[in-house]
Amino acid sequence: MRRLVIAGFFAALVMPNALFVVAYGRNYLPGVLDALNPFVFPARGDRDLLANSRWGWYRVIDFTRRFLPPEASVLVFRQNDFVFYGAHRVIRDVDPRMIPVYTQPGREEAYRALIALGVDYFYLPSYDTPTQYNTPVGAVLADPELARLVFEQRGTRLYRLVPPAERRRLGTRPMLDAKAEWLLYSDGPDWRPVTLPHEAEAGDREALWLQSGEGSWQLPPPELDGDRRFRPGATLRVKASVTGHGWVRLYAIEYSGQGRGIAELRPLRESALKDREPFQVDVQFRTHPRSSGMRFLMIVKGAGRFRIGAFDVTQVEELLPYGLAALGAAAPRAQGLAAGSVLDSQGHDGDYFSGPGHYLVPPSAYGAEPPRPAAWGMPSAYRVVLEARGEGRALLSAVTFDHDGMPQATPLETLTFTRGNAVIERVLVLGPEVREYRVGLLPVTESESLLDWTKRFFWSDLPPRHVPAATAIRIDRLEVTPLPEAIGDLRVRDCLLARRSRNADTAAVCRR
Amino acid sequence: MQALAGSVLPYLLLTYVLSGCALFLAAQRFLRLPAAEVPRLFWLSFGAGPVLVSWLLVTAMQLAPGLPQLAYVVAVEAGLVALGLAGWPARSELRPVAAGVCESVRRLRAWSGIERVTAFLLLAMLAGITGFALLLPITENDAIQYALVSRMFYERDTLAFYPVVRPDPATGFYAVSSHPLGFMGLYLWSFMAQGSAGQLGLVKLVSPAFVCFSLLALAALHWRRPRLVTLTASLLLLATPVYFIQASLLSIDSFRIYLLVAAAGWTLETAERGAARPRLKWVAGIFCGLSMFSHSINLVLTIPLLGAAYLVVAGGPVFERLRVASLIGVTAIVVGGERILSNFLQFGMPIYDFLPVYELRFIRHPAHVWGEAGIIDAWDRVVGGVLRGFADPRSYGITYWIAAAGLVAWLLRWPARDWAGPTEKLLLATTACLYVFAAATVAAGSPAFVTNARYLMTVQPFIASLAAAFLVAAYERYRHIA
Repeated sequence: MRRLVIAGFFAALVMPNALFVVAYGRNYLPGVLDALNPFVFPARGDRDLLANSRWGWYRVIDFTRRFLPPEASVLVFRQNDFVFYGAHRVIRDVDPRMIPVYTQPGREEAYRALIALGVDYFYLPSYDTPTQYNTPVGAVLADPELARLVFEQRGTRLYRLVPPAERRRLGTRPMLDAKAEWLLYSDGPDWRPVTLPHEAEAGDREALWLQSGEGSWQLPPPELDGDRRFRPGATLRVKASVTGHGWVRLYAIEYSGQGRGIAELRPLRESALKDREPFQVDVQFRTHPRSSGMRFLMIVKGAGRFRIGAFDVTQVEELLPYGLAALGAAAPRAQGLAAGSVLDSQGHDGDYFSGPGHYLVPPSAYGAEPPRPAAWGMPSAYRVVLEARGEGRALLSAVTFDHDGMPQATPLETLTFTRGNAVIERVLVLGPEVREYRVGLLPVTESESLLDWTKRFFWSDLPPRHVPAATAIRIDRLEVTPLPEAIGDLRVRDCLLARRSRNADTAAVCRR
Repeated sequence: MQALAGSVLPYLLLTYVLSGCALFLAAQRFLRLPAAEVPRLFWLSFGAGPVLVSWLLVTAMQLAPGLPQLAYVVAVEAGLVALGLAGWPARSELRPVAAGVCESVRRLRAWSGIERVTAFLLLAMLAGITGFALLLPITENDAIQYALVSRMFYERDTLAFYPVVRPDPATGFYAVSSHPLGFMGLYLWSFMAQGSAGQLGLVKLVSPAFVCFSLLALAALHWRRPRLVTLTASLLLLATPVYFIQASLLSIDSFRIYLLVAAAGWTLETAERGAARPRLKWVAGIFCGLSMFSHSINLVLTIPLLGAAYLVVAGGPVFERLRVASLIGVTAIVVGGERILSNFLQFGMPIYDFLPVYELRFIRHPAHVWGEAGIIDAWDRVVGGVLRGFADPRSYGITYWIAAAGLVAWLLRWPARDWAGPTEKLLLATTACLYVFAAATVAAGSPAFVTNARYLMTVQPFIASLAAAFLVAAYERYRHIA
């Protein structure tokens, strides 16, 4: 017994390391463990496996592989995995060719230098680098008129440098009043209300915490400011200034519907301060598709006095991708999705997608009916009925969204309309990862391949394509309904196993 | 299956088994070690075989650039065959190694309960590392860079563009780090064996293989101590969070750390028996050179760390100790100092990792690195930087604290008078030198060494060994009382 106690004591000294392995590994392994899906491993390559990772950068890399033009040049602030898993030529942020960009006196000059260097896109990881926030490149990236946020996953961002020919002024709308209330926590027992600008003394090795809005950070504030509600999926720009010695982190905390939880803790900036010189935060980001409330949280770690200057938040005029249904054009029906838009190409594009809002944002973000949850881990099937008339070619397609709101375009079939009515009925099978979906009909030119279409679909700022004037298709009816209840009862798994099923009824339903 | 039989199995056998045997046989022929010492030094050296393969490949490609890949494969195999032939007359001296393995297996039933439990935990950790390394995609930043550069070597059949100080015209890839080529050479050899760089494949074996070699080297280091010391030291090493995770993510660390342990083992052997066997210093020099061939940290630190440790541990007149240490250092530089020479020729400095962009003062890169690590002032730099092993249990566990307790106990001669011997002296001297180096970099204002948890992990096997020796000594004493 005593030996057992001694052995236990011995193990107690050795095993804490193993517990720290778990603590340390929680930071490093989950993203990559997502790849270890026994249902797909090892049939797929590492690249495809990582596209399912919760690490945003692999999702963004996957996006660039599929949707960026092959000849695009990407300025990367995290190089190795982009080159290893991506497919595009890069310029690394520490490449000596960037020195002429970094040494420009201002934003406009830096923008022109980037254009001259041939940069088309920017790939930024979820953490900051001084080559962003201490150079004019950061100012370019913060300005939606110069750089547009194309895609973002968990803090990893892909921006497109706006070509000079496409530049235009964008309207902005202030979202946070200068007199808005903030709560500060330093070394005291409680949070205390302050207004900005504000000076504070850092406690003894404690960080300063500053949050916008009243109440606990665990719940959404009543409003960001009065009745100025931001829209989910909107582009916001944040400007602030901090003076002091240390390190600053700025987060946007977004809350999901009914304030039940945090949809996203989004790091906006992590930077070293400049001691006596004010450090300017200037960053744009897109709100979460399911966001319904927001706070900003600033954490300053350092020593001595800090001055937090004005904090400014503006919503940028909508940057709608080219060719999509207007916002709120249609609301979904109880069963499936409604129709009603018109494709009419008089030298003008006219893609149609079911559901309200931006086609890259899940319909539920616009207050649409909560999605019908597909059975987890199982595919679900829908019947698509399209009634249309006109002349020309169009692509029937689906846009699906996974649980993180990640969109995925799937071309289904190219349809050819020759004068008169056509009623088309197809079965759409969605994978187990799909949470929401839209169905779309897009006119295509004679020469446009599926690949071209796919690229154009996500590369929203492409110049308008030419759709033959003869293409004019009107949708009279587009209905998407779950396949008969029998499918739900039988479970799709049964159908997948139907080859072995001896039950004639089951087989009949599955065939349907 | 055909590929497995045709290419992979010979590759595995040659790279991970026969090369180590050939290297040791040649060393044994040269040293003529007594039979009792053979198994210990064999397991200490066994993992150097794949490094030798890499060294032969890189040397062949540098001496005769522009040849087809097959020529380099033949050159490597010819080198191994030559080494094997040189050691062939000593082949019968490997019998004690095989006999020792059989004997160990036979005696498994005699293991105590605590030994069994420790061994089980150790195997579980090892299985975890191996499973993760083989099954997961590569994601660790530096490991990806090594894979990328090796892929470029493979696709272009040349090392001439290394380091990539001019952006690659095809991809734009730019990486100025000029690490020695040992690790990338082994990656390149693996790509050659599988005939493609499209998938990592055999490359994924490298990190877990060197974890195993590290455990064998630790066993050799503690050969004369109770078995529980080896088991505990190994468990403490594998259960070091940063080691476990990095080895699982295919990082270079298990590779370079094994080589430092092997070099330390041969240095210790030279310090203890060099007077009787003067040839030992040459072999110690070769192993120090292979360690320098692995990574820039080893390139810089192997000679200062092990040289200082040798001076502390070896007996005899100071001048003689200095002479032997110098000879070990010169041999090491000849074997593994190629990168020092090429960096001097190309850049005018021995180590090159220079990014011109960071010379722009307004970028303030050091301030960013300090701040990102949560290090704000001088106090943070000492506690969170130099003494990070104590202050950062999430990266290093509690091993440093156990080792520190062991150090105090050593001074108090508790729990036994002689629980610490020359091995512990060498390990302690090596660790102390590393910390002097860390303090010097911090004093010079550089955050590079202390903000990267992997760099301070360089001496983790030594810390684990000190902690294990102390723990087992305490256990043994208390057990006897019980």
